[in-house]
Amino acid sequence: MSEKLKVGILDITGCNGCVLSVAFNEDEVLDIFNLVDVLEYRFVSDPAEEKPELDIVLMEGMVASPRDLEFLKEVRARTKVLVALGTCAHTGNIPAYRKWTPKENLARLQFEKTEDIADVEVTPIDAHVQVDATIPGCPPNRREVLEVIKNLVIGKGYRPYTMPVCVECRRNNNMCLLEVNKPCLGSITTGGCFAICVNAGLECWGCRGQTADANLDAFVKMLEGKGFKRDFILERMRTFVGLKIPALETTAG
Amino acid sequence: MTTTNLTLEEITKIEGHAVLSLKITDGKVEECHLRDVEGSRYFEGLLVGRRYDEAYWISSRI
Repeated sequence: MSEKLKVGILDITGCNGCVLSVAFNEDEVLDIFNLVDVLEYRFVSDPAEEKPELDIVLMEGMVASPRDLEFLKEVRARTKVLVALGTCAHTGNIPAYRKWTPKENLARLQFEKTEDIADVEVTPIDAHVQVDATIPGCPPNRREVLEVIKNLVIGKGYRPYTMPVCVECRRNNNMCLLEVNKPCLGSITTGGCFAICVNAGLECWGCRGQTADANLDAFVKMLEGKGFKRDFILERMRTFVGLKIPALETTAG
Repeated sequence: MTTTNLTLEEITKIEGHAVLSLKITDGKVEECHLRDVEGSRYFEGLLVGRRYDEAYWISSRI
């Protein structure tokens, strides 16, 4: 048996839900720890005295402060495979929607003592360092996290799911929410989440990012035909993944 | 009189990031600073102007 892979499960600014979703695999979490050496995982162990070289890093969170950027670059330098874990790392998530929010909405929320709270434009981690794989979703599917770790360990590499949410949604026998005039983004959104929101009767907000072949223009027109305002549709499409759909600015914006 | 300055650069087992600094003189804590070192995300500002039924989608990501 060759040496175990060294894994770090790390995070920068975010809600820490993604790193928790690793631990939510309650039945398998001990198997993960047997399969690989988890050297850095803030929720499980104290910080290492010396920063180890790592084979795989699951990185949660967006770059929202100089400290985040410094930590991200430091981790990248000692990591072989950097995996973006969750929508924050993938697209910047909801905080990146700040780009389309009027500045006066944010101004009165400045804290009194701001010396520790640096205010930088929110960016996903691939804006700064090379990212080798992405596990999308807010939060990511806990089974998918397992799958990615397993595939990397057995050398199978990383194969992202590319079908839209609708594929799994219809398989789950859900009623199509577009037919009852709900602004569901499932048809332009990458699946792999087992359509968890639509299973619960809630429309998809597109947290996993657009599919490569999504026809955004036609999609906006279709929702407009259902009586939704253009601004509302674009706002909805940008909320989670706005920074990853620059095409929206020219074709539909 | 001995004074010890103690700093925990990373607090584990919490959601979010914080730094704890202590100043201890003769076994007595004189100063204690807990600094939040997260970047600001402005969730409150992002909620302004959204429909009421959109709020829980956004606030649940805090």
